[in-house]
Amino acid sequence: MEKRKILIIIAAVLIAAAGIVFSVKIIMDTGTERPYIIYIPKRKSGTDFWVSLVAGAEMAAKENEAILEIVAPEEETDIEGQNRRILEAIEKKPDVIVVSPNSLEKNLEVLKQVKKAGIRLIYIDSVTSENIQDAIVATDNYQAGRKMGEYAKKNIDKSSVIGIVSHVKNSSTAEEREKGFRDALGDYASQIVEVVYSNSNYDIGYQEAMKLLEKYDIDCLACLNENSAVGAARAVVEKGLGGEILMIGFDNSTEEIKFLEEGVFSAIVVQRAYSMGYLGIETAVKSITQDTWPANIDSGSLLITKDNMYDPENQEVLFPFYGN
Amino acid sequence: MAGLMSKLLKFKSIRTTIVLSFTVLIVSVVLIFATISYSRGEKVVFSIATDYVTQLNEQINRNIDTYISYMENVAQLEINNEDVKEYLFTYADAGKRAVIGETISAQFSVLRETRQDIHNIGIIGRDGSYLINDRYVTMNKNVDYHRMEWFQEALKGNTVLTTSHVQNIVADDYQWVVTLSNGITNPETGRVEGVFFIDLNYSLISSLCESIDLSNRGYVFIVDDQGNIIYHPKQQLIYSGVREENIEEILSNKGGSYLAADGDKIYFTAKSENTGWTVVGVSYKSEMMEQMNETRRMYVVLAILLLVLATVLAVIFSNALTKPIKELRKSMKEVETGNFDIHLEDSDAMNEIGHLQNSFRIMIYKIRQLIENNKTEQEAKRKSELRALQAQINPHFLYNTLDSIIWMAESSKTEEVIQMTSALSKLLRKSISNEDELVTVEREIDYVKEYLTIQKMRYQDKLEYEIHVDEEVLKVPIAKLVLQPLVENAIYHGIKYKEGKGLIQITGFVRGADVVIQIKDNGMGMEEEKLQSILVQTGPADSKRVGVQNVHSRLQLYYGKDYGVRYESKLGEGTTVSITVPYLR
Repeated sequence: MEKRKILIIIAAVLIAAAGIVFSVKIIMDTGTERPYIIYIPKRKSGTDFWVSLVAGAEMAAKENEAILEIVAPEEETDIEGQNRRILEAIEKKPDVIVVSPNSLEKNLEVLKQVKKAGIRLIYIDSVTSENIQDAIVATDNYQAGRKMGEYAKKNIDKSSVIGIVSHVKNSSTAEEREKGFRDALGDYASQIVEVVYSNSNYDIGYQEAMKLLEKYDIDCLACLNENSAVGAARAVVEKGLGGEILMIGFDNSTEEIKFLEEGVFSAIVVQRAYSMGYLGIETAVKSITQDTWPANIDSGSLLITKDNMYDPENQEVLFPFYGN
Repeated sequence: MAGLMSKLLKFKSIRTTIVLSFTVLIVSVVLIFATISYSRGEKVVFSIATDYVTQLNEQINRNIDTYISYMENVAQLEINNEDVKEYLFTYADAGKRAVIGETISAQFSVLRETRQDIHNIGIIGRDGSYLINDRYVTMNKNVDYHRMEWFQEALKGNTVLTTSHVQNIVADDYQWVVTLSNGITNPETGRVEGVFFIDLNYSLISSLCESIDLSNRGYVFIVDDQGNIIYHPKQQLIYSGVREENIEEILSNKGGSYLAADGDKIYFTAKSENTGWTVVGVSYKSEMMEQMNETRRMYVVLAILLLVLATVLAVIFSNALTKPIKELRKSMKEVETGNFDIHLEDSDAMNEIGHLQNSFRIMIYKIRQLIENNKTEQEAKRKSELRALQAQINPHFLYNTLDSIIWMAESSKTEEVIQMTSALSKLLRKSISNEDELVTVEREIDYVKEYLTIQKMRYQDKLEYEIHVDEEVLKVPIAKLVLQPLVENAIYHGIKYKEGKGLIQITGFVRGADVVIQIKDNGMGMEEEKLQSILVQTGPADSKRVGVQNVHSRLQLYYGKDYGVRYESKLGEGTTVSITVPYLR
């Protein structure tokens, strides 16, 4: 009699425990694991480009219900700082680390550790010299450079003196844009007299452009990023050459847009930063939720002139609006 | 059906029945509810979502309408403002114009201060005179406002509400706004020669839309009647072709909701007649399903928990219910085995089982009483029987003695007659008159001695006797008049017919828990057949046997079946009769 009673109690306890365990399991199942992504951009959002890019990234994170953490080095030249942040990100064991490497070479060793830790690695905007990443989402910088070159080609002749204000030597974006520019110029490429570097700094860009203007009788000036463009434009305006020189800018900021409005720039090539950020995070999510994902995505660029800058699709890119 | 039911429900215990039926009941109730909620879940979720999104859309529309109509009111006020007309169209001297300009800009300032959502407010004449916000604002010299649509259309006399755009008319200011513009008529020419415009801060609209929480992936956007996007959280993605939004489909859909071609997005549209804008709320069916699944999972969890709870409750209930029944059954089992001495508590439960228990308790009590009565009756019966036997033995003894006396009187043995009669009278006084049932063995031995004295007189030398009883036996109580009849029997059946001397030996000793008194004679002895029948009463009382049977019956009545008289005999050698009684002190 007693034995039966114990058996019944044991059975009841087992059934209750099984029921509770099953219930808890069902409740747990509802929370499917959200992808955890850490993004290390080139720098803190100082320019419209980075503001747009981060906004796009955040939109993608929201839409895909991913956890996105953004840790940025202070400056684009702060490779050490970026490497440190990458190492810190590895410690946090995210599903994906998304990086916009500041250097073709100097980030490589640290980024290899990301792969070693079994974390997916996605590049946004820029790359490293070795292809260790799981995917790249970037402006096809070569194509962007070509757009500058093609526009320049239409507005110069064989006697035109061409200068380039680039940003950071050996950075992938700088090299590719320059190559695209040169390739599109074709025969005119030989008329490029010098390439100077702003190191993504307005003042250096201004100084270097100033030196260039003093050294040569420049007819066409191609600027390969926003700092270079604004720095160079300041120099050109100071020299009283606004509108005289065929200036082609890259990326956008209020100052650069004003130069475009004023006619200092004839055209600027802008990247679709918002799309880049968006597609970057979307690809990061895909890399852990899907078996296959595109390894190389061009987020696109467009050439904007003063005449079409207020077209709806262009003003959206030039004047990114984020609820301020 | 009912038969099947009862067959199914024929379980071994009430508890199992209760637990099972309880569980079955709960399971079916839970299942029915779950099924109903399950099947209605989809409809309910969709209708709730539709109501919710529609309300939100309408709310956005109302808010926007409020803003726009406020701007329209301001516009109406300003285009009919005499100061404004004078400022733009009468080319009075610069001094007077400056004064009027002051007044107007003061008005503008008040408007801009009271309404933070107004970014710019201004008037522009066809000839290029203008006043924006205050008089210190300069126009962006790199922009030709004549080419702007809101300016051109207003000059045609239309009220224009633009889509969202970057307002670049003021130098160094690039703000996202929605512009409302109106033509200002020159009263002198009767033609529209000036434009009033007011810029509504775009962030007002965007934050209005962003503040709407349509689950995780859901969003709200606004298109105007031309299909231009006023607000869309993924505007850039749409322009760059990363995302698509089928604007035509939305415009052709007059209000209500519809499922997009991809089968996942649900569009809820609400058009404002005032602005011509359509607010579109987008929800994802998959997300709703997710929510629904979550709800369903909650149902399952709830059902399981309810089941567990119900089972536990059923077990507890049935235990509480069957426990008294079980106890009752246990008591009944005891009673079945013949133990009536059970302790049953007076049940305080006022239910059927309580009543049952109480009834059973009373029944047991009554049975016990009956048994008690029965016992008393039996005792009384035994006593009366004993008395009857006693009564039987007395005359028997008397007859025998009187027979002896007669026999001696016939032989004229006067002396012996006197002796015997006096011995008899002594004996009678001592024993027969004694009312006690029990006497000591010593007393019995005394009687026997008296009796043997009498018999010795009769049989003279033919009868010899020896009495040897242990000391401890002498004090043992014993039913009275048990020895004498046996001794008598030994004389009459053993010694009497013997040739030569007869010897009767009486011994008493303790054997284990019993006292044994043996009367041994060396008389005739008995045949086996006679030995067998000696203790069995056959037919009416035989005066010759009555003694032995009487003693045996009395001993058994008194001490139980284990005690009594036992004969051992061998023909020609003698008989030994043993009395066994309990050794009582």
